Amino acid sequence: MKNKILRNIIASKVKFLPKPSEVTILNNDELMMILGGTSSLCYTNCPQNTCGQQTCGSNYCGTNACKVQSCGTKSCSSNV
Amino acid sequence: MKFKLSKYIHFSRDVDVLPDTFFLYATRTGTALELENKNYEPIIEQNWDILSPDVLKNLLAAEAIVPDSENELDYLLHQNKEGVKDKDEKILSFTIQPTANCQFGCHYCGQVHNKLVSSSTTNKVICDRIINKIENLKKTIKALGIVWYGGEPLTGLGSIEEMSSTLISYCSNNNIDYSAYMVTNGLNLKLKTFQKLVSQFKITGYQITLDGTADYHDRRRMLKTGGPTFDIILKNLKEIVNSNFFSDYKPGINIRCNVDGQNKDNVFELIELLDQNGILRKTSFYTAPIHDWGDTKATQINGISKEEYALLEIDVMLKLKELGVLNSGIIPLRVQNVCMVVSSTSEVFDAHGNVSTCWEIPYTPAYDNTSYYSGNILKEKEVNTSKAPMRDWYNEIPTNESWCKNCKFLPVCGGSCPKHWYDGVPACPSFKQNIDERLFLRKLINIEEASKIEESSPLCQI
Repeated sequence: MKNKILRNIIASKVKFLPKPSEVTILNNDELMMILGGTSSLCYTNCPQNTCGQQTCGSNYCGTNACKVQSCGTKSCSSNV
Repeated sequence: MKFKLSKYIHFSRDVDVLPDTFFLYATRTGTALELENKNYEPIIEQNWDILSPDVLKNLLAAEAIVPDSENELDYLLHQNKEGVKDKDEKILSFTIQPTANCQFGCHYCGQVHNKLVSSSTTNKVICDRIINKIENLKKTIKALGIVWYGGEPLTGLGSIEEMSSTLISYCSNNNIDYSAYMVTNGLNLKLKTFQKLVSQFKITGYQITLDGTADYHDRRRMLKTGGPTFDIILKNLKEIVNSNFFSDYKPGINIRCNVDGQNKDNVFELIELLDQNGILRKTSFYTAPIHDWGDTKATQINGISKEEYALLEIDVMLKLKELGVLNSGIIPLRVQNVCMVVSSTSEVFDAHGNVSTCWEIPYTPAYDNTSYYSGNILKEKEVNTSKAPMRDWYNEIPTNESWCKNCKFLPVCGGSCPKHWYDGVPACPSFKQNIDERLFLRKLINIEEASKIEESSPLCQI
Protein backbone atom coordinates (compact mmCIF):
# COMPACT_ATOMS: atom_id res chain seq x y z
CA MET A 1 0.00 0.00 0.00
CA LYS A 2 1.41 3.34 -1.06
CA ASN A 3 -0.20 5.14 1.85
CA LYS A 4 2.09 3.27 4.21
CA ILE A 5 4.96 5.39 2.93
CA LEU A 6 2.94 8.61 3.10
CA ARG A 7 4.09 9.40 6.61
CA ASN A 8 7.70 8.58 5.73
CA ILE A 9 7.59 11.08 2.88
CA ILE A 10 6.28 13.75 5.26
CA ALA A 11 8.89 12.88 7.88
CA SER A 12 11.67 13.27 5.34
CA LYS A 13 10.37 16.66 4.20
CA VAL A 14 9.57 18.05 7.65
CA LYS A 15 13.25 17.88 8.60
CA PHE A 16 13.98 20.68 6.18
CA LEU A 17 11.12 22.93 7.15
CA PRO A 18 11.42 25.96 9.40
CA LYS A 19 9.98 25.69 12.90
CA PRO A 20 6.20 25.41 12.64
CA SER A 21 3.84 28.14 13.79
CA GLU A 22 2.13 27.66 17.10
CA VAL A 23 -1.14 27.06 15.25
CA THR A 24 -1.99 26.64 11.56
CA ILE A 25 -5.23 25.84 9.77
CA LEU A 26 -4.48 22.89 7.53
CA ASN A 27 -7.51 23.13 5.28
CA ASN A 28 -7.96 26.87 5.14
CA ASP A 29 -8.44 26.98 1.37
CA GLU A 30 -11.38 24.59 1.43
CA LEU A 31 -12.97 26.32 4.39
CA MET A 32 -12.68 29.62 2.58
CA MET A 33 -14.38 28.13 -0.46
CA ILE A 34 -17.34 27.11 1.66
CA LEU A 35 -17.53 30.40 3.51
CA GLY A 36 -17.37 32.24 0.23
CA GLY A 37 -20.33 30.31 -1.12
CA THR A 38 -23.73 29.85 0.34
CA SER A 39 -22.82 28.41 3.75
CA SER A 40 -22.07 24.77 4.14
CA LEU A 41 -25.33 23.71 2.64
CA CYS A 42 -24.79 21.54 -0.34
CA TYR A 43 -27.22 21.20 -3.11
CA THR A 44 -29.51 18.38 -2.06
CA ASN A 45 -29.07 16.00 -4.90
CA CYS A 46 -25.39 15.45 -5.15
CA PRO A 47 -23.80 13.01 -7.51
CA GLN A 48 -22.84 10.65 -4.78
CA ASN A 49 -26.47 10.07 -4.19
CA THR A 50 -26.52 8.02 -7.28
CA CYS A 51 -25.60 4.86 -5.62
CA GLY A 52 -28.25 5.61 -3.13
CA GLN A 53 -25.40 5.75 -0.72
CA GLN A 54 -24.64 9.32 -0.14
CA THR A 55 -24.96 12.93 -0.66
CA CYS A 56 -22.31 15.49 -0.65
CA GLY A 57 -20.73 14.34 2.49
CA SER A 58 -17.37 12.83 2.53
CA ASN A 59 -19.38 9.77 3.07
CA TYR A 60 -18.72 6.86 0.86
CA CYS A 61 -17.69 8.77 -2.15
CA GLY A 62 -14.73 10.15 -0.38
CA THR A 63 -15.12 13.82 -0.29
CA ASN A 64 -17.10 16.69 0.68
CA ALA A 65 -16.18 19.34 -1.78
CA CYS A 66 -18.89 21.43 -3.24
CA LYS A 67 -18.45 23.74 -6.10
CA VAL A 68 -20.40 26.94 -6.33
CA GLN A 69 -22.56 26.94 -9.38
CA SER A 70 -23.53 29.99 -11.30
CA CYS A 71 -26.86 30.11 -9.56
CA GLY A 72 -25.15 30.39 -6.23
CA THR A 73 -26.24 26.95 -5.14
CA LYS A 74 -23.78 24.18 -4.72
CA SER A 75 -23.40 20.76 -6.08
CA CYS A 76 -20.89 18.21 -5.04
CA SER A 77 -18.04 18.07 -7.40
CA SER A 78 -16.76 14.67 -7.30
CA ASN A 79 -14.26 13.29 -5.51
CA VAL A 80 -15.85 14.51 -4.31
CA MET B 1 -18.34 32.41 30.40
CA LYS B 2 -17.01 28.93 31.16
CA PHE B 3 -15.78 26.83 28.27
CA LYS B 4 -15.23 23.12 27.66
CA LEU B 5 -13.50 20.99 25.09
CA SER B 6 -15.97 20.00 22.39
CA LYS B 7 -16.77 16.30 22.10
CA TYR B 8 -16.61 16.73 18.32
CA ILE B 9 -12.86 16.71 17.96
CA HIS B 10 -10.32 14.21 16.75
CA PHE B 11 -6.63 14.26 17.71
CA SER B 12 -3.95 12.81 15.52
CA ARG B 13 -0.31 12.49 16.50
CA ASP B 14 2.73 10.71 15.15
CA VAL B 15 5.95 11.89 16.75
CA ASP B 16 8.07 9.95 14.27
CA VAL B 17 6.59 11.99 11.44
CA LEU B 18 5.87 15.33 13.06
CA PRO B 19 7.96 15.56 16.23
CA ASP B 20 6.92 19.12 17.09
CA THR B 21 3.22 19.26 16.27
CA PHE B 22 -0.08 17.41 16.40
CA PHE B 23 -3.39 17.66 14.54
CA LEU B 24 -6.71 18.65 16.03
CA TYR B 25 -9.69 18.17 13.72
CA ALA B 26 -12.77 20.04 14.95
CA THR B 27 -15.69 18.46 13.14
CA ARG B 28 -18.24 21.09 14.22
CA THR B 29 -16.67 23.36 11.64
CA GLY B 30 -14.64 20.88 9.61
CA THR B 31 -11.49 22.73 10.62
CA ALA B 32 -8.19 20.87 10.82
CA LEU B 33 -5.58 22.59 12.97
CA GLU B 34 -1.91 21.80 13.36
CA LEU B 35 -0.68 22.88 16.79
CA GLU B 36 2.63 22.95 18.56
CA ASN B 37 3.05 20.09 21.03
CA LYS B 38 3.18 22.39 24.04
CA ASN B 39 -0.55 23.01 23.54
CA TYR B 40 -1.56 19.36 23.77
CA GLU B 41 -1.72 18.92 27.54
CA PRO B 42 -3.47 22.26 28.25
CA ILE B 43 -6.12 21.39 25.65
CA ILE B 44 -6.70 17.89 26.99
CA GLU B 45 -6.79 19.23 30.55
CA GLN B 46 -8.97 22.17 29.48
CA ASN B 47 -6.49 24.56 30.99
CA TRP B 48 -7.36 27.45 28.74
CA ASP B 49 -5.43 30.13 30.64
CA ILE B 50 -2.10 28.63 29.55
CA LEU B 51 -2.87 28.89 25.85
CA SER B 52 -1.72 31.88 23.83
CA PRO B 53 -4.38 34.29 22.54
CA ASP B 54 -3.69 33.10 18.98
CA VAL B 55 -4.23 29.44 19.82
CA LEU B 56 -7.30 30.24 21.88
CA LYS B 57 -8.76 32.34 19.08
CA ASN B 58 -8.31 29.52 16.57
CA LEU B 59 -9.75 26.88 18.90
CA LEU B 60 -12.81 29.02 19.54
CA ALA B 61 -13.29 29.79 15.86
CA ALA B 62 -12.99 26.09 15.04
CA GLU B 63 -15.49 25.33 17.82
CA ALA B 64 -13.02 22.96 19.41
CA ILE B 65 -13.80 24.93 22.56
CA VAL B 66 -17.47 25.57 23.26
CA PRO B 67 -19.61 27.04 26.05
CA ASP B 68 -19.67 24.70 29.01
CA SER B 69 -23.45 24.75 29.32
CA GLU B 70 -24.06 23.77 25.73
CA ASN B 71 -25.70 20.45 24.85
CA GLU B 72 -23.65 19.88 21.75
CA LEU B 73 -25.79 17.18 20.16
CA ASP B 74 -28.93 19.29 20.51
CA TYR B 75 -27.12 22.34 19.17
CA LEU B 76 -25.69 20.45 16.23
CA LEU B 77 -28.98 18.83 15.24
CA HIS B 78 -30.75 22.16 15.62
CA GLN B 79 -28.19 23.74 13.27
CA ASN B 80 -28.76 20.94 10.77
CA LYS B 81 -32.53 21.33 10.87
CA GLU B 82 -32.25 25.10 10.48
CA GLY B 83 -29.86 24.60 7.58
CA VAL B 84 -32.24 22.22 5.85
CA LYS B 85 -35.17 24.58 6.48
CA ASP B 86 -33.23 27.49 5.08
CA LYS B 87 -32.30 25.53 1.97
CA ASP B 88 -35.85 24.24 1.54
CA GLU B 89 -37.19 27.78 1.40
CA LYS B 90 -34.73 28.81 -1.31
CA ILE B 91 -33.97 25.76 -3.40
CA LEU B 92 -36.29 23.02 -4.58
CA SER B 93 -34.64 19.78 -5.65
CA PHE B 94 -36.23 16.82 -7.39
CA THR B 95 -35.00 13.59 -8.87
CA ILE B 96 -36.83 12.31 -11.92
CA GLN B 97 -36.37 8.75 -13.10
CA PRO B 98 -38.21 8.99 -16.44
CA THR B 99 -37.51 5.47 -17.59
CA ALA B 100 -37.38 1.98 -16.12
CA ASN B 101 -35.18 0.92 -19.01
CA CYS B 102 -31.44 0.31 -18.93
CA GLN B 103 -29.17 -1.51 -21.37
CA PHE B 104 -26.82 -2.69 -18.63
CA GLY B 105 -26.89 -5.80 -16.48
CA CYS B 106 -24.68 -4.82 -13.54
CA HIS B 107 -24.70 -7.44 -10.80
CA TYR B 108 -24.83 -4.87 -8.01
CA CYS B 109 -27.86 -2.99 -9.31
CA GLY B 110 -31.01 -3.55 -7.29
CA GLN B 111 -33.37 -2.42 -10.04
CA VAL B 112 -35.40 -4.59 -12.39
CA HIS B 113 -35.69 -2.95 -15.78
CA ASN B 114 -38.36 -2.90 -18.45
CA LYS B 115 -39.13 -0.74 -21.48
CA LEU B 116 -41.38 1.70 -19.62
CA VAL B 117 -40.77 5.38 -20.33
CA SER B 118 -42.88 8.05 -18.67
CA SER B 119 -45.80 9.10 -20.86
CA SER B 120 -46.63 12.68 -21.78
CA THR B 121 -49.45 12.52 -19.25
CA THR B 122 -47.06 11.43 -16.51
CA ASN B 123 -44.55 14.09 -17.54
CA LYS B 124 -47.22 16.76 -17.31
CA VAL B 125 -48.39 15.62 -13.89
CA ILE B 126 -44.80 15.58 -12.59
CA CYS B 127 -44.15 19.09 -13.94
CA ASP B 128 -47.46 20.36 -12.56
CA ARG B 129 -46.53 19.06 -9.12
CA ILE B 130 -43.11 20.70 -9.25
CA ILE B 131 -44.52 24.01 -10.48
CA ASN B 132 -47.18 23.89 -7.80
CA LYS B 133 -44.48 23.45 -5.17
CA ILE B 134 -42.60 26.44 -6.59
CA GLU B 135 -45.79 28.52 -6.51
CA ASN B 136 -46.25 27.64 -2.83
CA LEU B 137 -42.77 29.03 -2.12
CA LYS B 138 -42.98 31.97 -4.46
CA LYS B 139 -41.83 34.53 -1.89
CA THR B 140 -38.59 32.75 -1.03
CA ILE B 141 -37.68 30.38 -3.85
CA LYS B 142 -34.55 31.17 -5.83
CA ALA B 143 -33.56 27.99 -7.62
CA LEU B 144 -34.86 24.70 -8.96
CA GLY B 145 -32.55 21.70 -9.36
CA ILE B 146 -33.40 18.52 -11.21
CA VAL B 147 -31.45 15.28 -11.23
CA TRP B 148 -32.15 12.91 -14.11
CA TYR B 149 -31.68 9.33 -13.10
CA GLY B 150 -33.02 5.98 -14.25
CA GLY B 151 -32.86 3.14 -15.28
CA GLU B 152 -30.67 4.76 -17.83
CA PRO B 153 -32.10 8.26 -18.31
CA LEU B 154 -30.94 8.56 -21.92
CA THR B 155 -33.33 5.72 -22.86
CA GLY B 156 -36.05 8.20 -21.93
CA LEU B 157 -34.58 11.16 -23.76
CA GLY B 158 -37.93 12.30 -25.17
CA SER B 159 -39.39 12.60 -21.69
CA ILE B 160 -36.33 14.48 -20.44
CA GLU B 161 -36.68 16.95 -23.30
CA GLU B 162 -40.39 17.36 -22.69
CA MET B 163 -40.12 17.98 -18.94
CA SER B 164 -36.96 20.09 -19.24
CA SER B 165 -38.66 22.41 -21.74
CA THR B 166 -41.65 22.91 -19.46
CA LEU B 167 -39.58 23.52 -16.32
CA ILE B 168 -36.94 25.72 -17.97
CA SER B 169 -39.60 27.84 -19.56
CA TYR B 170 -41.48 28.23 -16.26
CA CYS B 171 -38.30 29.12 -14.37
CA SER B 172 -37.21 31.58 -17.02
CA ASN B 173 -40.57 33.36 -16.89
CA ASN B 174 -40.50 33.52 -13.12
CA ASN B 175 -36.89 34.53 -12.59
CA ILE B 176 -35.91 31.25 -10.93
CA ASP B 177 -32.48 29.76 -11.48
CA TYR B 178 -32.66 26.34 -13.14
CA SER B 179 -29.95 23.70 -13.11
CA ALA B 180 -29.89 19.99 -13.86
CA TYR B 181 -27.62 17.02 -13.38
CA MET B 182 -27.68 13.59 -14.97
CA VAL B 183 -26.51 10.19 -13.82
CA THR B 184 -25.89 8.16 -16.96
CA ASN B 185 -24.02 5.02 -17.94
CA GLY B 186 -22.59 7.08 -20.81
CA LEU B 187 -23.33 4.54 -23.55
CA ASN B 188 -25.66 6.82 -25.52
CA LEU B 189 -23.93 10.04 -24.56
CA LYS B 190 -22.71 11.00 -28.04
CA LEU B 191 -21.22 14.46 -28.51
CA LYS B 192 -24.26 15.68 -30.41
CA THR B 193 -26.64 14.49 -27.68
CA PHE B 194 -24.38 15.98 -25.03
CA GLN B 195 -24.34 19.37 -26.77
CA LYS B 196 -28.11 19.39 -26.91
CA LEU B 197 -28.51 18.34 -23.28
CA VAL B 198 -26.10 21.03 -22.06
CA SER B 199 -27.04 23.96 -24.24
CA GLN B 200 -30.75 23.36 -24.70
CA PHE B 201 -31.80 21.47 -21.59
CA LYS B 202 -29.34 22.97 -19.10
CA ILE B 203 -27.99 19.64 -17.90
CA THR B 204 -24.57 20.89 -16.93
CA GLY B 205 -23.35 18.14 -14.63
CA TYR B 206 -22.93 14.42 -15.33
CA GLN B 207 -21.96 11.30 -13.50
CA ILE B 208 -20.63 8.47 -15.61
CA THR B 209 -19.47 5.18 -14.13
CA LEU B 210 -16.42 3.24 -15.27
CA ASP B 211 -15.63 0.22 -13.14
CA GLY B 212 -12.05 -0.14 -14.33
CA THR B 213 -10.32 -0.65 -17.64
CA ALA B 214 -12.13 -2.66 -20.33
CA ASP B 215 -11.24 -6.08 -18.87
CA TYR B 216 -12.82 -5.22 -15.55
CA HIS B 217 -15.55 -2.80 -16.58
CA ASP B 218 -16.97 -5.16 -19.21
CA ARG B 219 -17.26 -7.97 -16.69
CA ARG B 220 -19.21 -5.73 -14.32
CA ARG B 221 -21.06 -3.19 -16.44
CA MET B 222 -21.91 -5.25 -19.47
CA LEU B 223 -24.99 -5.07 -21.67
CA LYS B 224 -27.87 -7.28 -20.62
CA THR B 225 -26.89 -9.43 -23.59
CA GLY B 226 -23.39 -9.71 -22.11
CA GLY B 227 -21.77 -7.41 -24.67
CA PRO B 228 -18.97 -4.97 -23.81
CA THR B 229 -19.58 -1.27 -23.14
CA PHE B 230 -16.24 0.21 -22.10
CA ASP B 231 -14.84 1.17 -25.50
CA ILE B 232 -18.03 2.96 -26.51
CA ILE B 233 -18.19 4.97 -23.27
CA LEU B 234 -14.51 5.87 -23.46
CA LYS B 235 -14.91 7.00 -27.08
CA ASN B 236 -17.91 9.15 -26.10
CA LEU B 237 -15.99 10.68 -23.21
CA LYS B 238 -12.93 11.42 -25.36
CA GLU B 239 -15.00 13.15 -28.00
CA ILE B 240 -16.88 15.19 -25.43
CA VAL B 241 -14.03 16.43 -23.26
CA ASN B 242 -11.78 17.18 -26.21
CA SER B 243 -14.43 19.17 -28.09
CA ASN B 244 -14.49 22.94 -28.40
CA PHE B 245 -18.02 22.78 -27.05
CA PHE B 246 -16.75 21.34 -23.78
CA SER B 247 -14.13 24.08 -23.46
CA ASP B 248 -16.71 26.76 -24.17
CA TYR B 249 -19.54 25.55 -21.93
CA LYS B 250 -17.43 23.97 -19.16
CA PRO B 251 -19.97 21.38 -18.01
CA GLY B 252 -18.90 19.12 -15.15
CA ILE B 253 -18.31 15.41 -15.50
CA ASN B 254 -17.74 13.17 -12.50
CA ILE B 255 -16.31 9.76 -13.26
CA ARG B 256 -17.28 7.24 -10.65
CA CYS B 257 -15.71 3.87 -10.10
CA ASN B 258 -17.71 1.37 -8.06
CA VAL B 259 -15.21 -0.72 -6.19
CA ASP B 260 -15.18 -4.16 -4.65
CA GLY B 261 -12.66 -6.95 -4.23
CA GLN B 262 -12.77 -7.78 -7.93
CA ASN B 263 -11.64 -4.44 -9.38
CA LYS B 264 -9.96 -2.57 -6.51
CA ASP B 265 -6.42 -3.00 -7.82
CA ASN B 266 -7.43 -2.00 -11.33
CA VAL B 267 -8.53 1.50 -10.25
CA PHE B 268 -5.00 2.85 -10.72
CA GLU B 269 -4.77 1.52 -14.26
CA LEU B 270 -8.09 3.18 -15.03
CA ILE B 271 -6.86 6.51 -13.67
CA GLU B 272 -3.77 6.28 -15.89
CA LEU B 273 -5.84 5.36 -18.91
CA LEU B 274 -8.13 8.33 -18.33
CA ASP B 275 -5.09 10.56 -18.09
CA GLN B 276 -3.53 9.16 -21.26
CA ASN B 277 -6.77 9.86 -23.11
CA GLY B 278 -6.96 13.46 -21.96
CA ILE B 279 -10.03 12.81 -19.80
CA LEU B 280 -8.76 12.86 -16.22
CA ARG B 281 -7.74 16.51 -16.13
CA LYS B 282 -11.03 17.68 -17.60
CA THR B 283 -13.27 15.69 -15.28
CA SER B 284 -13.22 14.63 -11.66
CA PHE B 285 -12.73 11.08 -10.47
CA TYR B 286 -13.89 9.26 -7.39
CA THR B 287 -14.50 5.77 -6.11
CA ALA B 288 -17.35 4.32 -4.08
CA PRO B 289 -17.61 0.90 -2.45
CA ILE B 290 -20.26 -1.49 -3.71
CA HIS B 291 -23.18 -1.74 -1.32
CA ASP B 292 -26.27 -3.90 -1.02
CA TRP B 293 -29.10 -2.35 -2.98
CA GLY B 294 -32.49 -3.94 -2.55
CA ASP B 295 -31.83 -7.63 -2.15
CA THR B 296 -28.75 -7.92 -4.40
CA LYS B 297 -26.45 -8.98 -1.55
CA ALA B 298 -23.72 -7.58 -3.81
CA THR B 299 -21.31 -7.09 -0.94
CA GLN B 300 -21.29 -10.83 -0.34
CA ILE B 301 -20.01 -11.61 -3.84
CA ASN B 302 -16.73 -9.71 -4.01
CA GLY B 303 -17.19 -7.41 -1.06
CA ILE B 304 -14.58 -5.01 0.19
CA SER B 305 -14.33 -4.36 3.91
CA LYS B 306 -14.56 -0.82 5.25
CA GLU B 307 -10.94 -1.02 6.38
CA GLU B 308 -9.76 -2.25 2.99
CA TYR B 309 -11.74 0.40 1.17
CA ALA B 310 -10.45 3.16 3.45
CA LEU B 311 -6.87 2.15 2.62
CA LEU B 312 -7.66 2.00 -1.08
CA GLU B 313 -9.21 5.44 -0.96
CA ILE B 314 -5.99 6.97 0.38
CA ASP B 315 -4.01 5.18 -2.33
CA VAL B 316 -6.38 6.61 -4.93
CA MET B 317 -5.95 10.10 -3.48
CA LEU B 318 -2.17 9.65 -3.60
CA LYS B 319 -2.39 8.57 -7.22
CA LEU B 320 -4.51 11.59 -8.09
CA LYS B 321 -2.07 13.82 -6.21
CA GLU B 322 0.84 12.30 -8.11
CA LEU B 323 -0.91 13.27 -11.33
CA GLY B 324 -1.67 16.74 -10.01
CA VAL B 325 -5.45 16.41 -9.98
CA LEU B 326 -6.22 16.09 -6.28
CA ASN B 327 -7.29 19.51 -5.14
CA SER B 328 -10.01 19.19 -2.56
CA GLY B 329 -12.14 16.84 -0.56
CA ILE B 330 -9.39 15.49 1.64
CA ILE B 331 -10.65 16.80 4.96
CA PRO B 332 -14.42 16.39 5.31
CA LEU B 333 -16.31 19.63 5.81
CA ARG B 334 -19.47 20.34 7.78
CA VAL B 335 -22.59 18.62 6.48
CA GLN B 336 -26.01 19.92 7.38
CA ASN B 337 -28.01 18.52 4.52
CA VAL B 338 -27.02 14.87 4.61
CA CYS B 339 -29.38 13.66 1.92
CA MET B 340 -32.51 14.67 0.08
CA VAL B 341 -34.53 12.46 2.43
CA VAL B 342 -34.14 15.00 5.25
CA SER B 343 -35.49 17.84 3.13
CA SER B 344 -39.16 18.65 3.60
CA THR B 345 -39.61 19.30 -0.12
CA SER B 346 -37.36 17.02 -2.18
CA GLU B 347 -39.06 14.15 -3.96
CA VAL B 348 -38.29 11.36 -6.42
CA PHE B 349 -40.62 10.62 -9.33
CA ASP B 350 -40.58 7.48 -11.47
CA ALA B 351 -42.14 6.62 -14.82
CA HIS B 352 -45.14 4.99 -13.13
CA GLY B 353 -45.99 8.26 -11.38
CA ASN B 354 -44.82 6.93 -8.02
CA VAL B 355 -43.45 9.40 -5.50
CA SER B 356 -40.72 8.46 -3.04
CA THR B 357 -37.89 10.30 -1.32
CA CYS B 358 -34.82 8.14 -2.02
CA TRP B 359 -33.19 7.23 -5.34
CA GLU B 360 -32.89 3.59 -4.45
CA ILE B 361 -36.62 3.01 -4.27
CA PRO B 362 -37.94 3.20 -7.87
CA TYR B 363 -37.81 0.03 -9.96
CA THR B 364 -36.37 -1.91 -7.02
CA PRO B 365 -38.76 -4.79 -6.24
CA ALA B 366 -37.48 -5.08 -2.67
CA TYR B 367 -39.31 -1.82 -1.92
CA ASP B 368 -42.59 -2.56 -3.67
CA ASN B 369 -45.56 -2.01 -1.38
CA THR B 370 -43.45 -0.43 1.35
CA SER B 371 -43.84 2.89 3.12
CA TYR B 372 -40.89 4.22 1.09
CA TYR B 373 -43.52 5.05 -1.53
CA SER B 374 -45.69 7.99 -0.54
CA GLY B 375 -48.20 7.46 -3.31
CA ASN B 376 -48.85 7.75 -7.03
CA ILE B 377 -49.61 11.11 -8.58
CA LEU B 378 -51.47 9.54 -11.50
CA LYS B 379 -53.83 7.66 -9.25
CA GLU B 380 -54.17 9.82 -6.15
CA LYS B 381 -55.24 13.42 -5.84
CA GLU B 382 -53.13 14.11 -2.77
CA VAL B 383 -49.69 12.59 -2.31
CA ASN B 384 -47.99 13.82 0.83
CA THR B 385 -44.30 13.10 1.44
CA SER B 386 -43.99 15.07 4.67
CA LYS B 387 -44.31 11.89 6.74
CA ALA B 388 -42.16 9.74 4.48
CA PRO B 389 -39.60 7.52 6.22
CA MET B 390 -36.34 9.29 7.09
CA ARG B 391 -37.75 12.82 6.71
CA ASP B 392 -37.40 13.24 10.47
CA TRP B 393 -33.89 11.79 10.61
CA TYR B 394 -32.34 14.55 12.69
CA ASN B 395 -35.05 14.24 15.33
CA GLU B 396 -34.56 10.48 15.38
CA ILE B 397 -30.78 10.45 15.92
CA PRO B 398 -30.85 11.00 19.72
CA THR B 399 -32.96 7.91 20.27
CA ASN B 400 -32.61 5.68 17.23
CA GLU B 401 -30.49 2.56 16.82
CA SER B 402 -27.67 4.32 14.98
CA TRP B 403 -24.56 5.20 16.93
CA CYS B 404 -24.45 8.68 15.38
CA LYS B 405 -25.50 10.33 18.65
CA ASN B 406 -22.20 9.38 20.23
CA CYS B 407 -19.98 9.83 17.19
CA LYS B 408 -17.42 12.63 17.04
CA PHE B 409 -17.75 12.72 13.25
CA LEU B 410 -21.51 13.42 13.21
CA PRO B 411 -21.06 17.11 12.23
CA VAL B 412 -19.19 16.17 9.04
CA CYS B 413 -21.22 13.07 8.32
CA GLY B 414 -24.82 13.74 9.36
CA GLY B 415 -25.47 10.01 9.56
CA SER B 416 -24.18 9.44 6.05
CA CYS B 417 -27.09 7.41 4.65
CA PRO B 418 -30.25 7.23 6.75
CA LYS B 419 -31.56 4.52 4.45
CA HIS B 420 -28.69 2.19 5.34
CA TRP B 421 -29.35 2.70 9.04
CA TYR B 422 -33.02 1.96 8.39
CA ASP B 423 -31.91 -1.26 6.72
CA GLY B 424 -29.83 -2.10 9.78
CA VAL B 425 -26.54 -1.46 8.00
CA PRO B 426 -24.09 0.95 9.66
CA ALA B 427 -23.56 3.73 7.16
CA CYS B 428 -20.29 5.06 8.56
CA PRO B 429 -18.20 6.79 5.91
CA SER B 430 -14.68 5.79 4.94
CA PHE B 431 -13.11 8.88 6.50
CA LYS B 432 -13.94 7.48 9.90
CA GLN B 433 -11.35 4.80 9.10
CA ASN B 434 -8.79 6.94 7.29
CA ILE B 435 -9.07 10.40 8.84
CA ASP B 436 -5.51 10.25 10.20
CA GLU B 437 -4.09 9.54 6.74
CA ARG B 438 -6.24 12.34 5.30
CA LEU B 439 -4.79 14.79 7.82
CA PHE B 440 -1.26 13.72 6.97
CA LEU B 441 -2.02 13.86 3.26
CA ARG B 442 -3.33 17.40 3.66
CA LYS B 443 -0.12 18.28 5.49
CA LEU B 444 1.99 16.80 2.70
CA ILE B 445 0.11 18.81 0.08
CA ASN B 446 0.61 21.99 2.12
CA ILE B 447 4.34 21.29 2.41
CA GLU B 448 4.63 20.70 -1.33
CA GLU B 449 2.60 23.79 -2.19
CA ALA B 450 4.70 25.92 0.13
CA SER B 451 7.91 24.66 -1.45
CA LYS B 452 6.52 25.42 -4.94
CA ILE B 453 5.78 29.00 -3.88
CA GLU B 454 9.26 29.29 -2.40
CA GLU B 455 10.86 28.00 -5.60
CA SER B 456 8.89 30.38 -7.80
CA SER B 457 9.30 33.53 -5.70
CA PRO B 458 11.94 35.99 -6.98
CA LEU B 459 15.04 36.67 -4.93
CA CYS B 460 14.99 39.82 -2.86
CA GLN B 461 16.86 42.70 -4.38
CA ILE B 462 18.76 44.43 -1.65
